[in-house]
Amino acid sequence: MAAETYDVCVVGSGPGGGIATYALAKAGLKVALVEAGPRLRAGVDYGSHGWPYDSPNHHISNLWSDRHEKGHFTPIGDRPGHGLIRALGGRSLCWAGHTLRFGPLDFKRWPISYDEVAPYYSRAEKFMGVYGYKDGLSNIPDGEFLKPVPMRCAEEHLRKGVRRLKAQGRRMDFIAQRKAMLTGPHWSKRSPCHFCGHCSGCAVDAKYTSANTPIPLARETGNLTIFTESMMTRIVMDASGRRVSGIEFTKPDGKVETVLAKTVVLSCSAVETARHLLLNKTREFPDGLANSSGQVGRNLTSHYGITVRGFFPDAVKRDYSNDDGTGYYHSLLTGLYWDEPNPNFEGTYQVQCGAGIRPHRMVVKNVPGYGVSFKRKLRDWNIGNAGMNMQGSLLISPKKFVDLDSSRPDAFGLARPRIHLHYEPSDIAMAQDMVDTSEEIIRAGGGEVISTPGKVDASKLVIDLNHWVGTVRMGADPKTSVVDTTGRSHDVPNLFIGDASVFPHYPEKNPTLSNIALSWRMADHLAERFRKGEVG
Amino acid sequence: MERRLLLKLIAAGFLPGAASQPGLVSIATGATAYQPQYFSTAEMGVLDRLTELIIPEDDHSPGAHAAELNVYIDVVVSEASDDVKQRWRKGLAAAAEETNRRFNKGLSDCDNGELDQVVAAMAANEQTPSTALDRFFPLLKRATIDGYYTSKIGIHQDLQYQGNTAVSEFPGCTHDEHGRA
Repeated sequence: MAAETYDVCVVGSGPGGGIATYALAKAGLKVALVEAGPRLRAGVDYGSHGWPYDSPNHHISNLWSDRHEKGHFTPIGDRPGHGLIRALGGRSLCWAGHTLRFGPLDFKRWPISYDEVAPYYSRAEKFMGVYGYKDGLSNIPDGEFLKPVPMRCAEEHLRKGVRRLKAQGRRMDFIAQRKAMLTGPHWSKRSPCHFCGHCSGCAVDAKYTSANTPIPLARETGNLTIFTESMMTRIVMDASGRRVSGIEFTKPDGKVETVLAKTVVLSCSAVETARHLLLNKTREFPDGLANSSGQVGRNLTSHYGITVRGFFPDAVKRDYSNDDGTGYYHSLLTGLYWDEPNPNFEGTYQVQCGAGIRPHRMVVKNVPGYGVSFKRKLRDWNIGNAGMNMQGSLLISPKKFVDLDSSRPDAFGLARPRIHLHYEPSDIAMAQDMVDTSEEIIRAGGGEVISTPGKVDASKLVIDLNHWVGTVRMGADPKTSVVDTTGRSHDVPNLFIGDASVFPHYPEKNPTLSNIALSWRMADHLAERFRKGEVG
Repeated sequence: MERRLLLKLIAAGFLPGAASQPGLVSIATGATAYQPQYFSTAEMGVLDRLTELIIPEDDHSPGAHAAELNVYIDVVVSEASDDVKQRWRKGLAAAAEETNRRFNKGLSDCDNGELDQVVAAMAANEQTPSTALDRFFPLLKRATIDGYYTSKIGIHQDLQYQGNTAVSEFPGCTHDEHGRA
C-alpha cells in the first residue's frame, strides 16, 4: 500500500484527465495520476509514416489499428461502438484534433453560460495551440488561432456550392477546419506540423495530446506521481461510506495496490466513468456510487453520421498534388438550424468535409464495372472527390444508455459496459436532411453526386465511436443530475468528474475542446476549495 | 548474396545445377519466390488473370498482375476467418462451374478471352447479385481495389500520390477557377 495520501487522485489521462492533472499540480496540490494503459511511443508501439505495401497483407500500422480495443463492450441495438484506447494520454493520442467552441446558443441548454466557459476556451486554445481562420460566425465563436490551413480543390467547389445556395436565401456556412496542431511558433516548443496526414498518431507531437503537453508540465512541478498500466478496479470509501478515500488499482500481473487521496477525479470517458460508478455499489449507494438521482449511465449521447460523396471534374485537371494536409477533413459545413430549428427533428448537425487522394486507402470504391474504363474512372473519382460526413447530435432519450453486462467480465473480473443505442425518427429525419442538403451543395458547386445513401434508415447510420457524452450530467438539481455546475458530485462531496460525461446537452460540434475547458474549470474550482480549506 | 553476384555466378558456371534450384533462380532473376499460403498454384494463376481483367495494364500504369495482387489476396485470405475463406472457395467454385458450362473446361484451362466472358457475366448483376457467381464479383473486385491501391504500383504509378512526406507549408487549392473565396 502506498504510504502517501495525495491531495487528488486523477483516474484517466485523456483530454480531461490530462488538463486536470496539470491544473491541479500547478496549483501546488499533490496529484496521483492513474492510467490503465502504458506509455506509448510512435514508431515503436504503433506504426507511423509507413507504406501499406511494406507488409504482405498491406496492413496499415497506426495507433488506431494497432491499439483499439474492439471487444470491450456489449453492443445493444443499432450498431453502437466504443473507441477505447488504453494509454497514457488516452484518446487524445488518436483524436483528429478538431477544436471547435460550443456557441452561446448551445449553452442556453446548459446550467452554465458561454461567458462562464469562454475564458477557459481561450486559455485552452493558447495552451494547446490551435490553428484556424477567424470566420466571425455567431454560434461557433472564433478563438485564439495560429496560422490557418486552407482547403483543397474539391472543398473549394463545395464552398462555391454553399455560396450559391446562400444567395438563394439558405442559411448555412462553409469554413475551414480548426485543429489543435502547430502551424507556427508556440510556447510549448512542440514540433510544427509537416502535413503528412498521419494525425491520429502524430509521431512528432505537432498535434496536442495530454501526453505531450499537460502531463510533462505537471511532472515538472514535482507534484505529480504517475501510475501507468494501473487499472482502477475499485473506488475506496471512508468509514462513513459517504466520502471517497482513494482507489484501488490492479497491475497486469494481478497485484492490487491502493492510492489514498483526499479527493478523486474520474476522467475515464463517458462510457467508462459511468461504468465505474455503476460498478461501485455500496450499502450507502446501492444503485452505484454518486447515483441517488438514478442518472448515472443515462442521457447517453454521441454524434452519428452518414456520408455523401461528390466528384468535381475540375479538381482532376490539376497538377498532381500532395493532399495529405492535417488529415482528410479540412473544411466544415456549419450554421445549420442554429436559431431556426427544423420542424422534422430536434437539434442540428455539421458536416465535416474533405477531398483529394488519401495515402492509405481509396476513398471512393463504388465505381461500377471493370477493365480499362473502370480503372480510369476510379482514379479520377479518387483524385477529384469531395466527401461530406455528417456529425449530428443524437437525440437524448431513455432508449440510449450505458449499464453493466455482468455476464461478460473483463480481464479484471469487472462487468463490461453495455451500450444501448436505438436510432429514433428524429435521428433519421436529421440524417435525411443532411443527405438532401449535401447533394444540393455538390450539384450547386458544379459536381456530380457519386455516392449517396438516398433514403435513410437506421441501418445506414454510423455512430461516432469516440464522442460519447452525457452519462454523468451536470445540473443544479441533485434529483435530475449527478454533478453540480463545477463538476462535483451532488452525493459524494470529494468526488469530481473531469471528462465529457458531464455534458448535459450536446451540440453538433466536436467535444474535446469543451471537455478540456470544463475539466480545467472543474480543477480550478477544486484547487480553490483546497485553498479555502474546504477539503482535507 | 546479392542478386547481381548470383547472376554472374550462374552465368559463369560457378553454381552448377542452379537451374534446378528455383529459389536461387528466382532470387537471381528477381522473380517472386512466394509460396502460396492458402490457394493452390493453379488458383493463384487464375486469380492473377482475374484481377488483371479488373484492373488491367493501360497506357497510364501497370495493372494487377504487375502489382502481384494474387499474392496479396492469398495472404489476406489465409489470415481471414473461415467464413471469408468459404466465400472465396464458393466464388471460385461458381466461376469454375460457369467455365465448365460455357466452355466445357476448368477455370485454369480457359484463355483470357474466355475468362473475360465469365467476369462480364459476373459483373452484369453487380448492383443486384443473386447467384453465387454474382456474389463472387464484389468480393474479387473489392480485394483487387484494396490490394492495388495499397501496392507500390497503385499508389505511386497509378495515383501518382505525392504525400506521406514532410512539407513545410500546405498550400491547399491554388486555382482561382475552382472558386476560391
